[in-house]
Amino acid sequence: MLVDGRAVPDGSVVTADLCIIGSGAAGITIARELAGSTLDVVVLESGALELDTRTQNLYKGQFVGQPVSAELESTRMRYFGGTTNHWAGNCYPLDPADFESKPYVERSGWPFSYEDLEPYYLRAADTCQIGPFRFDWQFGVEKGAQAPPELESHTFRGIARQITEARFGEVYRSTLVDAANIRVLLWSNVVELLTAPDDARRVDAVQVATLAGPKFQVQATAFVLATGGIEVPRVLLASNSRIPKGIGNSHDLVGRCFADHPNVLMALALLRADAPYHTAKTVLVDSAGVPHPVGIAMWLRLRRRALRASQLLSAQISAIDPSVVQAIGITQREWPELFERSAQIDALLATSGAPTAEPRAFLVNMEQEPNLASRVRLARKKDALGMPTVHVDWRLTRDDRVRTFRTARLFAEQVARAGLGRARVVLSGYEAGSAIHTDEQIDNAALDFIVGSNMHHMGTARMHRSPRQGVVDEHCRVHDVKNLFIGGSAVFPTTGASPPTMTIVALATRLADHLRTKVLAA
Amino acid sequence: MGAATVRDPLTRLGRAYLTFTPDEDSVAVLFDRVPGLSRRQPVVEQLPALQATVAADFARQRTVSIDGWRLARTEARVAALHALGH
Ligand SMILES: Cc1cc2nc3c(=O)[nH]c(=O)nc-3n(C[C@H](O)[C@H](O)[C@H](O)COP(=O)(O)OP(=O)(O)OC[C@H]3O[C@@H](n4cnc5c(N)ncnc54)[C@H](O)[C@@H]3O)c2cc1C
Repeated sequence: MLVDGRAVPDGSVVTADLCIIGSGAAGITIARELAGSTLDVVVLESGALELDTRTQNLYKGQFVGQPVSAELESTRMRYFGGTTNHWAGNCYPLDPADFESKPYVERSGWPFSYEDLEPYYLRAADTCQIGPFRFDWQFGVEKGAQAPPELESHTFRGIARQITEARFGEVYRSTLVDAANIRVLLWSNVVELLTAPDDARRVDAVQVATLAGPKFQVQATAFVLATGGIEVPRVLLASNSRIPKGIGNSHDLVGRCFADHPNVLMALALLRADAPYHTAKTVLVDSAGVPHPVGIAMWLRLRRRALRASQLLSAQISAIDPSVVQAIGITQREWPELFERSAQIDALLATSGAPTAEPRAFLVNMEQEPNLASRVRLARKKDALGMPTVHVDWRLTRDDRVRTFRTARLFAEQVARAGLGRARVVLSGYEAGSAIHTDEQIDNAALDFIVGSNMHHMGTARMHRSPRQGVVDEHCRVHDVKNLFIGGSAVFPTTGASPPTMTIVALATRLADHLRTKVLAA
Repeated sequence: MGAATVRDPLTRLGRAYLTFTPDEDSVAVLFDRVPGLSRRQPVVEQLPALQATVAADFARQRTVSIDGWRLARTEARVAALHALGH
């Protein structure tokens, strides 16, 4: 059932077994998993079924660290379906190595393995409406996607990503609306989680405000906060009328370790004319008897042994079209200059009589290391509902930048080693990079090249078995609170380089099972 | 003449290599370090015949970075000899 939150009488109390806050990829997945069950579920959604500017403006805030070309409010969507209303649909799980702790990276790893999450990834593939659960290079080749096979090596592994057209709000609206046990309250903004007056370890209600005026509360046995990687810490920190540091924040971890997948125009390559360029292929896959299109495209990943040998983090490399270069922080005017330099290499390669193709550009999406100084904080400024807005202080460490440089160099070597051509490490036009000839020079270089944001907001309520090192436990429950759970990429303790949503959906599926079979079983 | 004003791209490449490898700024040293190269023929014309050496350089990570390009050490030396008039 859909309910207009603005029509709920002011001061009233709505009750439920489970209250899910937010109807993005995470919230919708949990509600969908519980549709038709005996649980009485309320979903609180800030927006409605379409974009509303006043509601969207509640997302306004400021990037105060690493510069980001977009405004904060345009990096996520505040209405039914959440940010999947404008996501690109790239689906790929985390790699098994992403779950492992790496001795050279503090705070790395997950409290469980890839194998533990795989059954939920299988269900997530279905929810995300992609094809078979295959992401190997051969699958991409079978489906007609292209990329030079020579790039596969002992350093790099080729993979196929799947690109879905599913927008969760559109695809699952009727499932939620038709379910007798689910009420979706639109126009309903959670402004505070309220712990019980006699027990700070239990949330007994949430305070809801509407832009139209009425305010009400929702009481439930359990709550899931699934408002996205920036809004999760905002709501937790702003829930400070009874606990001044905010909920879940007894060890000052809420909002910290904010991570994105920094992207960098990594290399230009002059490839042999006969080398296939990366091209995507759209295929029809069958989902519940309905054929629908899914894109298949190739990416390169660093292999586990290459990560360990060079102390690197996950990286995902793709070929890009020069037209998107502007979007990642380098101007069109600079672009021809970069290509001009390739004349030298052209001349070199021409000596062997090999015809060279157009220069190609390659982009890398990096994993950044968990960094306590990179964080989301409450700002003084308030939004239209009186809730503090946020400052997002996104930071990269020097090691993150060195790893990006080294990854680009490994790639450039692989291009040559494979006999494909030659590649130049460009790092988004970082001129000083061309003067780096030796490893010692890397150590002394500023490496202040431009990085772009992928708008993947992660890590701000990290998962760890110990309350000293994590906001939530391995079941996504806030350590300090018995009945509050977090959905979404805020819980990622290590982000890998994969786009986050498939993992968000897998974790949400797992959480739904946990809520149904353990927490709310009675 | 500064490297930036040199028209021929291979000469620019070779000069760039020599600026950060000054101990190789000598025709004799360079010929010595690229076995199989003849002084009687322009070095650039001999590059195709050096393909196996170049491939071995990449396989063993005997690579250099010039202006951001990852090149085989042999290629860089040939470009340097070219810049020195061979
Ligand atoms: C341009 C772009 C492209 C992207 N492409 C990809 C991609 O290709 N692959 C990929 O994996 N990921 C991609 N992402 C990221 C992806 O969109 C997110 O990972 C995903 O949507 C997060 O799901 P979520 O449920 O955690 O949060 P969201 O989808 O952001 O949903 C949060 C929900 O909570 C609601 N809400 C917020 N605050 C409150 C409140 N106080 N009270 C009530 N409700 C509230 C919001 O209205 C919203 O509906 C992309 C993101 C962007 C911006």
